[in-house]
Amino acid sequence: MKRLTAALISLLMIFSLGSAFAAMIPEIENDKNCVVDMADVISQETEDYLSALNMYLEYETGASIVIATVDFTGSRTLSEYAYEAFNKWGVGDADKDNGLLLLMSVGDEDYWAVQGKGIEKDLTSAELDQMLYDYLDNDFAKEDYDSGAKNFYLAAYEWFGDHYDVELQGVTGNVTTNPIEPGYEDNDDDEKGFGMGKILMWVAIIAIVVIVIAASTDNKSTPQRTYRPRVHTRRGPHTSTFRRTPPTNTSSRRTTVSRPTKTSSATRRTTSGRSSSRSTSSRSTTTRSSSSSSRSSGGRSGGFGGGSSRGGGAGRRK
Amino acid sequence: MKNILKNKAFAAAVCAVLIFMGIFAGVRRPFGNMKDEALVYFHGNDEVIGIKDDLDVKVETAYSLMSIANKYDGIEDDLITDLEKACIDVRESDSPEEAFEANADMDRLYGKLKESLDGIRLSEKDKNYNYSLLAQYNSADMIILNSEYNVCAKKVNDALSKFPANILSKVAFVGKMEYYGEVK
Repeated sequence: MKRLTAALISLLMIFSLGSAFAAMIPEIENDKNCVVDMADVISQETEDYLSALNMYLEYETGASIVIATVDFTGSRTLSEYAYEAFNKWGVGDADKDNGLLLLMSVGDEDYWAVQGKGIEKDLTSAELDQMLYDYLDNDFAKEDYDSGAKNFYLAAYEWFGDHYDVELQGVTGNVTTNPIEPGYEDNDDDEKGFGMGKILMWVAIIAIVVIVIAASTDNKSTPQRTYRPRVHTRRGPHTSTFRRTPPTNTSSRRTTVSRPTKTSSATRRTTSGRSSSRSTSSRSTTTRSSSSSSRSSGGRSGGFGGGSSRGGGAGRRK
Repeated sequence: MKNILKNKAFAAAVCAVLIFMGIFAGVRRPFGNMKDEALVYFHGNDEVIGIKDDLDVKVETAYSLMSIANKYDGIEDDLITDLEKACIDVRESDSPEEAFEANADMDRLYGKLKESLDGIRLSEKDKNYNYSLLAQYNSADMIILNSEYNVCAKKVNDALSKFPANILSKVAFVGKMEYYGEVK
């Protein structure tokens, strides 16, 4: 009965606690994926496409655009949730603080976008608001979150390209076009570079193995010398017997010592042992206090980059 | 000084103080440790999910239900306000008894709000949310019911009620632990 109850509870936990914990900001496991789809409203195809674009964007500019969806934000307001998520996930570059987060709350029927302080002057809240209205609002109202996220992302992607004066690949007007992944344009050179390194690595490994094998075979071929201590015997005058005469005073105690019968014996060499007394100076151990995961500003917390923000933000027009 | 040390009354007083301090320290520490271990199941920590953590889930779920209710006109504002107040009380409760009472209040108001929502025409999406949120709410309750807290608290209280702990605990001002709800 107890096992059944425990199993039922486990099942209930698995199926029902997912959306409850959506109100709590989760940790990001894979920072390559720029879509955090807790409400499960964005298709895998869109996720992969946007993630590929984001990789290129990060490579070229250090910026990052993150799309997050939740069912509800719970006790937090949309803006509070968005700011917390932005800082917790470290959206954008830590130094440039140029991230952009779009949070869509499906159950609340609302959305909020927040930009990093580094781009706040160029992408003002008003401009961001306009971008949301132009590219997201219609699709959001129609509950087509997938298209809305994609269109907004592409608009923001183009903005970053213009802002950093970089020709960002992958946007051809047709949103279904797969982008070129960064770093693979000149395949030949990359392969060569990569190949040389690989070859050198293998050469080093083989050399080490050969040396180890050679060293072990050398040990086996040479016979091991056994050390035999030299025996020193002192030869005195030739006497056949040596008799010890007992003392005349019988009152004294006599201790008999049994002597070995061998005539020659190895001399025991006694060496005074060296006293290895090292004076150990007391070392002061410094405990490195790990920087807390709750950062006040900047720093990387594992995630998309390292940006933090208390910048502006923009939400849905009511 | 020597006279004081030779004084029997003084010596007796010193002994009494030492005995009292010994009892105080000797009883408070072990029972204090036992209580702390039990309270982990109430407050929770990095390794253990406590009753407060599950109550937090219920509170978040209640807020989500309020978000749905706020979208529709046929819901009393007072009901939503009262539920929000109950949620705050649950969050701010420190002791198990207080948390239990606040939770009972929240349960009652949550049920009322859910009934009100059932009575109006919701969108398909909100209808689904209404059901899933209820499932979430109830599952958190079930987890709380099976919490180890009451079991640990009972162990402490049973130990405190046995001789000589029952007398020594009164001397050392070690009280019994509160239960979360009724204990059979």
